Amino acid sequence: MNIGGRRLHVSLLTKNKRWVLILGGLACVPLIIDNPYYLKTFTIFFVYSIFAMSWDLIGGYLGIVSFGHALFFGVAAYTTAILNVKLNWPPLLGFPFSIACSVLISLVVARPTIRLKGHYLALVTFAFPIITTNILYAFPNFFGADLGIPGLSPLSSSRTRDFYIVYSFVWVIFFLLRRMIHSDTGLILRAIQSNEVAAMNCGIDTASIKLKMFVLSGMLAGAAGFLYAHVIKIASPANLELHMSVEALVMCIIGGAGTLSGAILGAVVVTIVNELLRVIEQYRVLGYYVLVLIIVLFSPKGLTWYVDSAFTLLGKGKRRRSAVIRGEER
Amino acid sequence: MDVILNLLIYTFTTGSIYCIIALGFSLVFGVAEILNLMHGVYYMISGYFVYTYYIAFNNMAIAVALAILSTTVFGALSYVVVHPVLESPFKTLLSTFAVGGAVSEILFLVYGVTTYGLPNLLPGGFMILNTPVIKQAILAAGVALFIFVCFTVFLSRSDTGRAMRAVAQNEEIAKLSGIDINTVKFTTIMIAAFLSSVAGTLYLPLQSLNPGVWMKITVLSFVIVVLGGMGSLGGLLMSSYIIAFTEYATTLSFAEGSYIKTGVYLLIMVVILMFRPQGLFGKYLGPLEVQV
Repeated sequence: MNIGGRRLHVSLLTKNKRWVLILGGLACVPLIIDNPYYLKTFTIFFVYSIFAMSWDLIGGYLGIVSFGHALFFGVAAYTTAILNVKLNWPPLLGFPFSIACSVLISLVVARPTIRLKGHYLALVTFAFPIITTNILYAFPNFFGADLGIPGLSPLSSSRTRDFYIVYSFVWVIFFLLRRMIHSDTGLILRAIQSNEVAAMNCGIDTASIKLKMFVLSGMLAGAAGFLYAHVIKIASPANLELHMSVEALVMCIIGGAGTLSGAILGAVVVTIVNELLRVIEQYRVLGYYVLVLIIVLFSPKGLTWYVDSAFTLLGKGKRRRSAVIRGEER
Repeated sequence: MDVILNLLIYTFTTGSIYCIIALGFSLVFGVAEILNLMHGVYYMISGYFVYTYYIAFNNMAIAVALAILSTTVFGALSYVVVHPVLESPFKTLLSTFAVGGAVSEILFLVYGVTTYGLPNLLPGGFMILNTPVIKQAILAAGVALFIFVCFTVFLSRSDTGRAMRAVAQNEEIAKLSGIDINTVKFTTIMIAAFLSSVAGTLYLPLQSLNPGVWMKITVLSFVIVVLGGMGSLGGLLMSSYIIAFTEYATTLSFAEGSYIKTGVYLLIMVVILMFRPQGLFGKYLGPLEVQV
């Protein structure tokens, strides 16, 4: 397992056992739960995982802290909504177009953004969704202003099938990204994050790698947006809002930035918290902000670190325990 | 003719107010290196303080004075949230955003979505060439410009001002010269809150007050700062007028102008960052890191 760029000495068997357990467990969910509401919640959690992983790819691995990732998400959602509702295209036909649109938009955003750093980068990525939202509001007849475009058709004929479609999306994306991160490309990404000038001097074309990763990340966020629009059956300006972009950051920080499994773990936490906060409906938004604040102020490491330490403790017995706690095992 | 005069008057009054709001933002950004997403909250909360105190004391002058004081204290308290995460830019962004959202949500729960109108300190108005001018707007602009000039003198002459400039230029060397960095950063945020509260108490009677104002003001102030360029106070003043002008001109020329004005000036900002990353009037790059 990978933690913050360093390898833990966990045996191959334990590692695979864990993934088999998680994958199999989640696949059984529709067999156990028939409540359509919970099934939808699970589906939304999968969509959030894709969104969080797409942010993690550039935010966690490359250090490009995007504050407007919801842009790609929202653009894909609107594209598929227009094709589906206004032109009556089936979702499957709309998919390549919404992906193409988010790739196009991410190329447009990447042009002025990639060269910038730190605050300025956050600022420019922050600006693009607001500009796009303004464009949406400027043509209320076409984009529906506040209401958005409702009435999208579902992905397939049943909720269970929807669940499995989104499920397979998540794990295909997860294992492909994981493969990439563990290959030489992953090494290059870490090199760029820790010292860009040094990476450049090693003969790495940092600008092109950054551009490629940015576009890939935009594409994945677009896939998430496409799925989300068809799961909740509406594309609205809320998809583009700062709140949505912050959601991606929060998920990655909770789980631990720079770990793909952390993104998924963060999505679990955010989904559960969103559902729990429904109990105090009136104070839901307030509760959410307070929680974000607490997490940002008091969590130096992501959850993945704690989970992995726990697994190591269970697997390796007492002798290793002290070593893990002292931090030598990392 | 009337339209042009109207546009000029609006540009002058609103631009001057924007200038002192953005001044605080620019200071916090330059000195403490915090991109303070809750900057608009100081402006907004000062309006709510005025409203509350006005109901309690029924006297506008007392309400304004108390509101400025309260907002400055609030600004000082807000340093508590950014202090633990100062070294990580994106954590400061997240924590300030969360506080801003939480405060606006609390205001929403307490006061509701109702848009409040505050009473004017100087009621009434007069006419210049058939164009009505509100006295409150002239008062707000005058006070804003006065404070701007005072602040420029403060920054160049006083010890605190010198310390702030030193920290903005080089934190390490400022520390070596015996400046307490934390105190300086703390003072900067307090000053920013003070400047915003002056703008809010004087200008909000002319505007509507609701819990969503803060985000607009935050976006506005960073556009002004990027446009003006870091470390140039004259540039800040100029870009405030440019933005105020753009804003009103957009509202006048398009039917959906009030919806898209934010988009228009953000687009201007992105284009300027592409071709002149140091801003229109900035001379040196300062904390802006642009890779070759």
